[in-house]
Amino acid sequence: MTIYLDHAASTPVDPEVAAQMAAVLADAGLQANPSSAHAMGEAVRARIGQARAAVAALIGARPAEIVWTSGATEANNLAVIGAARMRAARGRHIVTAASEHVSVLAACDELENQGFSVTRLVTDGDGIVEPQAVATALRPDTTLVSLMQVNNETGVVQDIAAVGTLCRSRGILFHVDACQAAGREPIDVRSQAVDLMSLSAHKMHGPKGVGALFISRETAGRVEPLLFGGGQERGLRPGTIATQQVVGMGVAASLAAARRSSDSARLTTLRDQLWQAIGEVPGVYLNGHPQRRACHIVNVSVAGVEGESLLFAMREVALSSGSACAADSDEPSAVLRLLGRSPELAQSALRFSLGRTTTAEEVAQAGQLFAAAVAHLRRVAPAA
Amino acid sequence: MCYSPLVREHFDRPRQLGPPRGPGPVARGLSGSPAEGARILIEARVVGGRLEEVTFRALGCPWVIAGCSLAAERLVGAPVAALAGFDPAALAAELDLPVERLGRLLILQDALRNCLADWDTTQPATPR
Repeated sequence: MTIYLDHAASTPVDPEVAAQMAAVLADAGLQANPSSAHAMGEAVRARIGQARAAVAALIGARPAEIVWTSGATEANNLAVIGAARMRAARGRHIVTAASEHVSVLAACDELENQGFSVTRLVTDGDGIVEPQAVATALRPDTTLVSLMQVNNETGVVQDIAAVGTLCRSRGILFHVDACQAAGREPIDVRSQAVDLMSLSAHKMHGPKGVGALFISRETAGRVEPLLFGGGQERGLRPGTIATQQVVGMGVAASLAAARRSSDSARLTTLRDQLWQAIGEVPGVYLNGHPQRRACHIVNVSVAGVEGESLLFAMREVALSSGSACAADSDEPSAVLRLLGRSPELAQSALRFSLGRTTTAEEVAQAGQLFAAAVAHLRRVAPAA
Repeated sequence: MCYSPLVREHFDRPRQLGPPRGPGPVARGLSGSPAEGARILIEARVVGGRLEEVTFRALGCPWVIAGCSLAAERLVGAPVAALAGFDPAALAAELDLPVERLGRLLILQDALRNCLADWDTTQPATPR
């Protein structure tokens, strides 16, 4: 049986989520279009409203501030491109970090193609974007700052509240990609002064194919839609809402909120046990800040081995060699290069990511398999 | 990535892992670098113009390790000149190697050629 340690790529659907989604699909009373004016449409709207409230509660938002999307990629695109375009008359400068998820970086690339200017901040050697670095990058024409709360490759946690306060004081919109943070790190969009926040259901034991963008009440009307054709989601995301998907995300959000403290404490213990086991192997380096990191990710580089072979030698464990979204690439991780890792060490990186179903036995076994795989590959490799 | 049963077999149980164990002079050929995707060392012990022992060490992807293992195993017993006759395209087809990875087997080809050149340099009086 494969040990699944790739929860940063996708989490298994919680049985309660699956049950409620299946119930929605089987319920004859919930098959109407949620935009329909009749009673059956109203029933669906009510069910969607419950889900919206659950997602809002997870991040300290109001239900009306949640816009459904197809996932975090769409939410990131809507936030970055939608907000930048809407505010183009005020300024055309965006600040982000070079370590952001590719969906934010690609959206910024697209804005550059349209004449916007983008500053991509370089992290320090621990993967941190210092609020002071953000402050230094701000210009009179800056309209948007976009940062992720937890890095999807290294698990490094950024000081969102400090950056949010800074942006708020300058009248600049602040977008946060919180996909890896939701259900693991404390999130409160009010105290963190966040205007826009992207969420993904399948990163928190919900279904794939649904996400959400929080748009604060104060920011409403300051984001331009990317899609056209209907008035759903206040015109920001037209298209019939996928009832069973958003219900699934709502249940996942409720479970994440209820279990965040206990899940986080348990995963922190398991994460530290894992690092203790794999860190004992000589030539293994932890990527990212040793303390400021999320409870579920351990990213390491291994000297003297090649990353793809390491992954294959450990095929009894489902892992990523970096971000799952970059798994088709043969290039060393740009995020790890920003940490100052050599191309060889960046190429040999492995990301272990734990989840709600991970057990201490699995962690111990993964540690043993890692040590054996590294020993095997070092026996095969020529002397440096 | 999807690896063939042949790649799996030679990756898990590589044959001809260096260094050579028998007595006598050894020729060495090194090629590639981690930045190029593979670093390969080929060592050959030649007796009477024949490859008595051929071993490898490799840092690279599973196809590189499997390719080195297969190539080294097949060269044992061949005339020393066979080090220059390695056909990367044929081995690539046998391993189901993705076309974008063919360069990795060219590094193996270079290592084999460098090994032959080393033999020619260090043992000029020995007939091929």
